[in-house]
Amino acid sequence: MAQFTLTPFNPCPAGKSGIFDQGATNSSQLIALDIQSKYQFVDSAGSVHHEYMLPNTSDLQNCGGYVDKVIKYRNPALAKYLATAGVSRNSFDSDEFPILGTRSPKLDLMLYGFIEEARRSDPNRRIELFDHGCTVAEHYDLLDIMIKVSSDGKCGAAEVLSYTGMDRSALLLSIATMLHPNLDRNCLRLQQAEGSDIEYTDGAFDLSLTVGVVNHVAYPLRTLKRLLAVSRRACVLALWVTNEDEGFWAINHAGVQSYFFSRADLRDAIAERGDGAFYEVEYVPETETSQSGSYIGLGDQRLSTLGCYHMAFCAGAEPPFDARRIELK
Amino acid sequence: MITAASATQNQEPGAKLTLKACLGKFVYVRGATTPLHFMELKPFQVDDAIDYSHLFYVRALRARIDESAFLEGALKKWMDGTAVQMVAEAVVHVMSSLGTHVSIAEFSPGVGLTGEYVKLLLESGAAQGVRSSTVERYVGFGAAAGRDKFEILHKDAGCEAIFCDEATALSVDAKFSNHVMVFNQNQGLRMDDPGICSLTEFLALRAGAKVIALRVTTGEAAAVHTTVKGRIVELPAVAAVTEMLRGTGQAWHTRFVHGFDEGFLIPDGGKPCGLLIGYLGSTESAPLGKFMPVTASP
Repeated sequence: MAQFTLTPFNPCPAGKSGIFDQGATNSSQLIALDIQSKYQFVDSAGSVHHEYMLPNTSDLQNCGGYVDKVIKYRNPALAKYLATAGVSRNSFDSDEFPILGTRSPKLDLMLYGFIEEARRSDPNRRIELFDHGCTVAEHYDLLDIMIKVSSDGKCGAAEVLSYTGMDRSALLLSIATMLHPNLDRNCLRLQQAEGSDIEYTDGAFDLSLTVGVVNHVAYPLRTLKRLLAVSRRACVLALWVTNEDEGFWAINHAGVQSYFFSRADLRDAIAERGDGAFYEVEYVPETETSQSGSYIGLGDQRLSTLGCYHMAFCAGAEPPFDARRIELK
Repeated sequence: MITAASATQNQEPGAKLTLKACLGKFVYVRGATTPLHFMELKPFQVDDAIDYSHLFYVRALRARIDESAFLEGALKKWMDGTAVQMVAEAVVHVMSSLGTHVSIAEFSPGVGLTGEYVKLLLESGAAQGVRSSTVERYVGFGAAAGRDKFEILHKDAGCEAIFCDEATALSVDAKFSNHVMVFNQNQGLRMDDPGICSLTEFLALRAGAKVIALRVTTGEAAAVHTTVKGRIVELPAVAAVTEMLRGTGQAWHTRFVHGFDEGFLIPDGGKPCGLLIGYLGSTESAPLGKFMPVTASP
């Protein structure tokens, strides 16, 4: 019997150019794709020695990451740390709890800024929050911790928020329900729908949140406009954008089309809303993202035009945290 | 599964070979064999994801939430890889002798699939003769890194949940008198948990009842294999384990599952492997299906 030493490799490194560099909606490039999730082992002659197949369902793979976040958030040591270090950009950027330095918690911190602002204005009013693509409602958990820490445990998300989560995945919504078994369903509502189907009335929520979900719904620009319309005060977004003049359709690793917004799209969304502005906290180039290889068939040159804003749309006053207004003219 | 014997042909026993390895999403143009694209997957998108989904699937069944969201062919297949149904059925089978309030203590519990499945079997009435039993406490023994997962996921899940990473707790064996103790080496291998006690130590523990789930080799002696995660593991020989159980003088029953999740071990030219499940408990009911007393001839 042999024993093995394993060395990591990339079976398909990205090149300078890719077959979908000109966009995934070009009809001359429409091809059928097969996607497999697996371990692969290749011998010194370049032959495949072994493959071990894994479930290829995106919902299932996403479940791992989102439930893992909830577990990390609910670690009592994290609440203790925030109680000592304070809820701030500095405490989130510290190496103490690396999870806090990732994209999703950073957006929750922005959202928390708006929540605190609203509580200062009217401490007794419940804040209406819409979580677009809520998965297992992990944002609720971190907001709960931040609110508890800042109020010395006097109140939490259950007392402060009226939370509405929307997701297309029945699996993730079922898990969200089971992870929050004791919450009043009037305060934590979950709705299954495709992300474009935002049927709430204009101004139905104080705040909304979308962590890239608006990029891969059926109608991205229309959905972005609806998100701004239903948000009275602010919409916090992780928004993938292109620095080119027109928006760009790519195909992500799950075989799903994903849209990169252009500045013209953002200008259009603001114009339809009629007031407010976008504010940028951070911009992460796609070439520097922690999850490389998210998009199929894109070469280095195309990737260099793409990136992700951590941003907020604000109606009225500027956001209650450091942010730079995005000039769209 | 694709396997090519080329790398292991004509190799000396124990030879060390280097393989290039990756874990991720491969995208092919339909019909092609060369990938168009590759994206690396992180472990939490694979092992944890399967176990979390499995845990919540079982909990959805318990809560009578519509479980159809979980019922995808792929998930069902990978649930089988955890062997949880077979292990839980054995646990429930031996619970009846321990009274109405029984605790489960599991070595290498992972996210605690066994306890969840046992509760499902008891609550659904699927386990004949032990329906009146309830799980009072679920104790996990394993590497400290598993504590948060186990305790947080089982909080408010119908019984007290405790996680221990100290082998010293084993010396207080009197407290295990109403416990079904589970030695889940299979789950330990899947989750890279080396375990905090050996099978020999486990068999020496005094407990109300016991269940074991081990990957074993069909060869005559223990054999070293490499898992797809790159961990070198030594699997005991099925005959040797059976002999250990016989040596206890207790009434063990076992079942061997040939070829169980065999792709998890990188093919190396060795003897085939499988899963051995065993239970020990004074039960008046007939043996579980496909289980045989170890005293019987093979």
